[in-house]
Amino acid sequence: MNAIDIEKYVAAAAQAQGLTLDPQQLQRVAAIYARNADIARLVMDFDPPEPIETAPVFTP
Amino acid sequence: MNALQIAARIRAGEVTAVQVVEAALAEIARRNPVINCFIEVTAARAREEAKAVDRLRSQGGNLPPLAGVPYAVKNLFDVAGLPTIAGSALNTSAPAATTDAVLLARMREAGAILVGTLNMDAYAYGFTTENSAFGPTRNPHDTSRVAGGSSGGSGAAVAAGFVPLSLGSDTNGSIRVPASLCGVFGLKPTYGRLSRTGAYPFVASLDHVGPFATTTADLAACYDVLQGADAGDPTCAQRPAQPVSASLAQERPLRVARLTGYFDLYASAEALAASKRAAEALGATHEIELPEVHRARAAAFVITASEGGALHLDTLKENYAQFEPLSRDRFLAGALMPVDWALKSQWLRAWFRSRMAEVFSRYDVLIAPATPVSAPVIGTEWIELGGEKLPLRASMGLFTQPISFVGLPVVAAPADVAGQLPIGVQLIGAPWREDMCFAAAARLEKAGVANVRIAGG
Repeated sequence: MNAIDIEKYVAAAAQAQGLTLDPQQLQRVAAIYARNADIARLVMDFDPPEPIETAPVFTP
Repeated sequence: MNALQIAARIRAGEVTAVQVVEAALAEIARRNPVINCFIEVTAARAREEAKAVDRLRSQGGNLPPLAGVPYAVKNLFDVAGLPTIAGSALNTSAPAATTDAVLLARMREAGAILVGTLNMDAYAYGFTTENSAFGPTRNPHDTSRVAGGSSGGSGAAVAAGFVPLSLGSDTNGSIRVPASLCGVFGLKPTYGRLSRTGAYPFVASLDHVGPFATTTADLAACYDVLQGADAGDPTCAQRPAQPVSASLAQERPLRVARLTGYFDLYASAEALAASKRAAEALGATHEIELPEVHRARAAAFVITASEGGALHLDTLKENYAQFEPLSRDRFLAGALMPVDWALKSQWLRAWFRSRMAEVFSRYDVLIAPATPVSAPVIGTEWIELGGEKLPLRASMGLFTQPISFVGLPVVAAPADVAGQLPIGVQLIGAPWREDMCFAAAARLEKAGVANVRIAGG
């Protein structure tokens, strides 16, 4: 996503959560989101192997 | 005086618990206005607990191991009768906790005396304890600088000599970072070792709790009384306590490696020197790189943003204006991230965990700097590390984050040079092998590398 798309995504995702961001808030949150996306890319590019899912089980 | 010296003097009748507590309260009243680590001083409770210790001694009763030792806790631990603030002004009007957190109950049982609650980054999201509502905690070694965070109050209270012991929490480095910047010992135990019942959560799958101290013997003594299963915390392992105090002085062979690559790349000159000094003193035989450690750090960052954001989303919706301005947009951005980022970060965690298990088949202790730099000046926004311009508040955890990501135990130990600002190293052990971390820390202490300097004033 480019910077404009990120702002659109953040505005829409916030709205879906019931939050309307003013232009300054939107700019700040989108800037952080863009940094997070850069960091997340290190995970997504690696494509870690899917582990055997662990979920809570009743014992005994 | 350190904790065990205080307990010994009280046991010997050389001083009373009431005298010790009154001296601590007076010192806090005199110097805390500058350091700003205490947010609440629990003087009435402290006096009552001290009198109980003195009464027990006068009646000839057996004094428990930390009888009469003053301590304080990060203000995310429940303290009966106080609201649990967790660094947020929004929580000051919350109902008071009705009982103490489990770790406080264990400290009380061990005879320790609670003298107050300590400052932190709001909701534990930060590495600097620059709290907009309660003010920054100042580093006792240089009050123009941060104490680290998020358990900055816990590091500063010990470094300033207000208390010999404190408790904090560590999700991504929040015990190890302030321990490093304040020049004291800190323990982040194995994930699941210590009970979190009554500790305000941040990222449940990464949250740890642990102590700070000025000597390895004090750190061990405190850790030993905190251990034990707790049915109330589903992540607390159902395993017996494994005390470390008794074996602290034992000489034992340690297979030690120094971590390089990523850790050297982002280390300042002082952090690199600390890591090498510790490696030399411990006789490290190898320098190794951890596989994909930069991605492990990224995954821990993503899980934190995502889980932390989700935890506080309702509060952000209702009270954005009153929410800590330094972290509200970070929490919000995290809450809006797509789920596959967090899910794949968890997959990476399982993969990285297996790689670390392989590493620990060859070594007992790994050494890395605890922070990339020593304490920055309060208000610093950016830092240059490894040729990159990085946001300071997030980057102080570059070296701690990939380690807690898979729950490994770490003792953070000072390894600085006298006359310079403190900086610490991480002594990282295999899961459930806190004893190895302690053995390494004790050896550094004995070699004169790990020296705690109390910043009196």
